[in-house]
Amino acid sequence: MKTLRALKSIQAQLLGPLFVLLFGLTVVFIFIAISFQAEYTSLGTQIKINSDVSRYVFEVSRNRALMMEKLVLYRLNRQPVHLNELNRLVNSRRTVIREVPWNLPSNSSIRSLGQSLAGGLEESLFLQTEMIEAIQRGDFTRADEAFLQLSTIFEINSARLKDFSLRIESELKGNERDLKKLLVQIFWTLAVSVTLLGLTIVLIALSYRSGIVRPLRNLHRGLQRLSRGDLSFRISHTSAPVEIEEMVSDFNHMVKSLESNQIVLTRTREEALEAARIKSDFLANMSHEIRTPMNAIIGMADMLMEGELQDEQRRYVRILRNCGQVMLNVVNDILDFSKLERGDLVLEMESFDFRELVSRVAELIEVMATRKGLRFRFSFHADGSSWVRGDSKRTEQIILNILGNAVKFTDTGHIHFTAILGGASPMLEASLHILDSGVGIEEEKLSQIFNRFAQSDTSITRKYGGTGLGLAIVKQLVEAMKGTVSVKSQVKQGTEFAVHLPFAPGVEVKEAAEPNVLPLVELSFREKRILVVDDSEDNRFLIKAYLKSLQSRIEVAVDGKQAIEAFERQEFDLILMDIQMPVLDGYAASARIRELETILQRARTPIFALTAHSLEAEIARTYSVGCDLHLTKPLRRVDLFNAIARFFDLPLSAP
Amino acid sequence: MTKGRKFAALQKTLPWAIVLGLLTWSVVFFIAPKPSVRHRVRLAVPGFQSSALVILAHEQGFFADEGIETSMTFRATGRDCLDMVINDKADFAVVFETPVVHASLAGHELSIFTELHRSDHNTAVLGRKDRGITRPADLIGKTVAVVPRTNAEFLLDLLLRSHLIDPARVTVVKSSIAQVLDDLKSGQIDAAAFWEPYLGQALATDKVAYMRFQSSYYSEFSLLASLRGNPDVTDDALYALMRSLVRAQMFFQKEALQAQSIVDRKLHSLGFFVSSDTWKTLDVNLGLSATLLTMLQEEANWYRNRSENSSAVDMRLLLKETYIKAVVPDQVTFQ
Repeated sequence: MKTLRALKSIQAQLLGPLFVLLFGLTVVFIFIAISFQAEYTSLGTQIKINSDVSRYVFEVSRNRALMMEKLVLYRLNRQPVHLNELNRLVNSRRTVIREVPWNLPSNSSIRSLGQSLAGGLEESLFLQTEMIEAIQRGDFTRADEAFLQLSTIFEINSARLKDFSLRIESELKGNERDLKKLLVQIFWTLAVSVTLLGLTIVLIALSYRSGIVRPLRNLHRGLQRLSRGDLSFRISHTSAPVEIEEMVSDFNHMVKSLESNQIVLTRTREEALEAARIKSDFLANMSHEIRTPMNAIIGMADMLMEGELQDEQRRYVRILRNCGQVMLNVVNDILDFSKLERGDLVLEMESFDFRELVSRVAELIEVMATRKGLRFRFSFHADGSSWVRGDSKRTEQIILNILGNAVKFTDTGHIHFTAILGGASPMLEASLHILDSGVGIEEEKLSQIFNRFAQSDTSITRKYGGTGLGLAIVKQLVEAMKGTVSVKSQVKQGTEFAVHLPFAPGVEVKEAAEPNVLPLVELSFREKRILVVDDSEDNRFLIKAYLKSLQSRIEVAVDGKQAIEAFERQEFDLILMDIQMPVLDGYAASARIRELETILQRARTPIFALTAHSLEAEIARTYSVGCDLHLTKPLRRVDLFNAIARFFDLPLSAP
Repeated sequence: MTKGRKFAALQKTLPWAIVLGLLTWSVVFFIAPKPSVRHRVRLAVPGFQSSALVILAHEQGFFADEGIETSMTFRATGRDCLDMVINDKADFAVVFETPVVHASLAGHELSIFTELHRSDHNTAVLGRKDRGITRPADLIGKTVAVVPRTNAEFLLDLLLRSHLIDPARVTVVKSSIAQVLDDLKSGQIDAAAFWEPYLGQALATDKVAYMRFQSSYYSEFSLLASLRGNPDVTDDALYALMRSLVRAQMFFQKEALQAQSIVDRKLHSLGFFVSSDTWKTLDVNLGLSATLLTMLQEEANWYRNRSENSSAVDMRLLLKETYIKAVVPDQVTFQ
């Protein structure tokens, strides 16, 4: 791997100089090829000149042969025949001789030979002219002298012509050889140039690939990994151009920053989750800590209410009980919201009479509204059966919350509550409209009223009280039930809530609904052995008071350890087990009791878990450790009796 | 010394030994004497620029490269050089064609191996303007000096005839070259026919005093000639000479100015007169041309016609083309 990297490094370092070398060589060879052009042109010109000269010389030879032929004829006949023709021939020869480009051949020897030949030919023309003139004059002696001289000169010029012709021919052959050689040189030079150019292009491509494409591909790969959340990827630096290198550095820097931020975010998230867990635990604890005394307060108030009291005393007890109930509602709101936020809310699906539910709530609210001097109007309409399938408890909670708010924030005027159940199978829709003439909400705050802890004005909290969680819970419950909630309001004019909830059609249940008021029941549970396990003396006292009418044999234990010891000592018909206790909690005690049953080969003893926790996870846990039923504190007597009756299948009887 | 130490010493000395060996080989290869002398030739050369190729071959070491050891003797005329060959004082002579023609007519069996130069203007007639000589026809009735048995004698006759002047109407006196120059200058004669560099020398004294006449019919040649039957003139020596002369010709063609400078310096150092103008009229070229053969024949005919004793000689037999044809075949055109 190291060797490969070293080789790549060497390759990257060599690319630059190699490119320069190849490019330089390419340029040199191209220049050489171009320089051949001048040589080629020169050679071509020479070939043309030599060819022209050769052609002219041929013409000269032909003319002079013709001329000599005429002169010989004259010499033989001694007749001045065709003088005009002779003159024309002389002139023609002169023209041709002067047209020959004797000076143009590049070969100095040929040029010199040509000039010599031209001189000789010119002088022969002189003699020819002299001869013709002598003939014209009739001076035949001079004409003979001239002819004789011409004969001598003719030989010399013939030899010169021969030399010149052969030399020109040889030169032309040489020119052709040079041309072929030059063409071969040009071919090879161009071939080398093209090869070098090709190599240069290949090198550029390699350089481009390693310098630009590869870093960009790495960058792309990095971005892909980044998009998958992999922050460990870094792009190694190469010999890429500065711009690419900067991009790579920026990418690495960005990934590093993201990694740092990710660490911070993870830590923050963990802290937030820890905080949420702590909050949740706190709420659970608070629930327990508040519900436990509330259990006693409300229970005791109920017990007092059942006794003989003066009117004034009864009023005090009612106020005490109502205040306890308000406080319990606040705690319940907080716990509900906590459940919703954690996603622990599980909607129950049961058939219930929607008409009965809204009517019951309307009656309750009407009492409250009337007490406040408000006019309350309720109307209900259903197209068919009013039985629906859904979570009645949460539906009631939604309606109660909105109507409760209407009562709370309306000082004068009216509250109109309209409930319509429409639609048909498979889904029904319940439309609830609650209109009040209350204080109203400012338009800009309307969008915030469903936020937790948000009331339209902090002064409202001071004036009307409340946790500010009611509407937030409503919204979350409605959404959990796949419904919608909306609000319209005008300040000092009033507010209108509209809730739409979908329900599946329900099946009418003939069995009478459980009474929602504390019934005075007697239960046939005499002589039964009941173990009450609770660390709170008040609660132990309360439960004992509840069970007093049953004439059962009550044993108590203050923690799980005592409960187990008691169970080991004797069998029980029912164990009411508090869960959160010192020394040994209800979970461990219940689990141990189930083990002892196996060991001691006893029949299964019913265990009812009593907790202030109403969180689903905790309820589930009670069942997992062997409890048979779960009851939430504060425990009402009627709830306890109903649970016993239902579990042991005992009839309830009116007092 | 242990084995290890010996090996270490060998490791140190071996690279140096290799380098030293390579250096020695280089010295032997590049600096060592060239192949031993295979031929020894004596050259008689006239002190003219027309002898350029022979002088260059000697000066540039081309003869030596071919294994020829040359002893060069410089003379004032080619005729003197040929006399040295005839008298066995030289193996080869650089000589104009006219003395060769004369010697052949005189019965000496000569061989011509190559032309060394050709010129149409190297020999001319100088006429004194103060004697009314401004055109060839003005030579009628005038005294014209020539050096006998030189091409100047032939040129004068050819010039007169080509202008249809009867040579009998001109008084021709025979003299030496030195006398010719003095007589022309002093006015003892009206005109004279002679050659370069003496023409340049005469014109250098008073350029406007003379009228120069040449014949365009006449081409003169300097030749490399030897006496037939010389045992030192072997085929190998001749081929080697031709190769050396071709190299000299290539050098002259490629580096003309440098070549001329070398020749001028050499001649000047020997006391010969040199003129840069002479180079303009010289065509330094090897070969055996048809023109040469024609000129030899013409001159031979001319001399034979003037001397009843001379027997007919076929000048073609003098030309030994085998050797020059081996190196520059295109330049042999007489056949």
